[in-house]
Amino acid sequence: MISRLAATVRYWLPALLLTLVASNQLRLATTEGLSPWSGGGFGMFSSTDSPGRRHLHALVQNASIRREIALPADLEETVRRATTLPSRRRLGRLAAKLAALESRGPIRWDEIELQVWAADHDRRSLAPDGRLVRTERFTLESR
Amino acid sequence: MSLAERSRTIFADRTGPLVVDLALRLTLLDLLLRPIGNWAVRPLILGLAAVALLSSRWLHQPLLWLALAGLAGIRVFLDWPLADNHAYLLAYWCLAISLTLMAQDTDKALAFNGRLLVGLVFLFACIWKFALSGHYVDGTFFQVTLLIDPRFEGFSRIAGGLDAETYQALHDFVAQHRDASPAIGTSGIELPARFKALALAATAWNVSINASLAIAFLWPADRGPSRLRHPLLLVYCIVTYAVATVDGFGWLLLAMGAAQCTVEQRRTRLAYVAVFVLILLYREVPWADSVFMPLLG
Repeated sequence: MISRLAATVRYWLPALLLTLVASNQLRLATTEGLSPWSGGGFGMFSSTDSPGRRHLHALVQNASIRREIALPADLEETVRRATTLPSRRRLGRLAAKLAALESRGPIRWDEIELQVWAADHDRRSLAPDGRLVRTERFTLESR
Repeated sequence: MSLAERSRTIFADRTGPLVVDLALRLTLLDLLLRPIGNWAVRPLILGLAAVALLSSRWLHQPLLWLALAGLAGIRVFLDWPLADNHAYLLAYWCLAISLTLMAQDTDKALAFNGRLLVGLVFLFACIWKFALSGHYVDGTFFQVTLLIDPRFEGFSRIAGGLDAETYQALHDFVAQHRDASPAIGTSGIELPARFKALALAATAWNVSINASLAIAFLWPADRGPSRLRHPLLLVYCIVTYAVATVDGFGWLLLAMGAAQCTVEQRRTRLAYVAVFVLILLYREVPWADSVFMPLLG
């Protein structure tokens, strides 16, 4: 019985893992906005929506002001992960880091909004057009 | 009859130790020529790969391959979700090697795993290209990618007949950063007919070769389209990696393909080695940029 099971595992486990991960990638791409190129689903070179072509806007606001903030260079890796798989949890982590940086400034902000954009193209003219992949708002705790 | 025995009879070829060693060595060369992982993982992978390549005792050590699979998996986990797809495939393949080296029928089990993994890779690639992308089959993907991806500039200019000025103008137009606002000069861009034909040809080639590979590798062994799997994979690697410089993926596919050669298929085994070397040459000699581009001026 055990040897039969071991033989089956030898033959099927790697393919089973590939199928499970790739199926999960399909799910994340359709539900969480994961880039088709990433996540082990073999969607590379199938879409113009590659991680490198996505970008993120961070906006802070209070009752009277709304403005975009610059993304610090040392958060580049975090931003890249967040744009590739913009789940609420991942964006929330990035929002917390940005909020911590903003809290050192003179203005008290109530909310931070993160927008992840991808580039689409017109089929005939190839004219680029932004597509909002995900937007999430996070309330900032008062200091 | 158990599931494993049934798998063997449906999918496996007559292979042999020679073939197993070739597949393992090509995999190790892939790891050494295209090192992966961060500063912590990379030295371990390089060390294990070098030891296994130099010592045939270690080459057949399942625990070494299990360690390589684990390290490749750790790399995917640490990089999540940024790792390339072949990083995942490398982990599955090292796991397959480890598991099959524990078996008595290593050659058949390895051939079976190689066949199934290659087939599934191209099956999922087809699902994305045919069903989910939305702008692949109509040629939009290649029209954009050939203009926007710097790795394709030489190929686009040479094969697409674009001079430097036209290429730059098209690149700048397609690469504009727009967030739901109209692109500048939408009506002013006309794609040259030769470039359009190139993008369509690239689309048709990729659609047909990806589908053919999925069918050939998932078809039961020695029947129908399965007989074409070696030439299809070799041609795919020769053509694709001349343009798309993703050598690590190409080498991995070749290692998995080589695992399915029979002992009698000496020429096919040599072809796998030759194409492996060819992909190395593609990397070391950027033919489009260094050889042909100066001719365009």
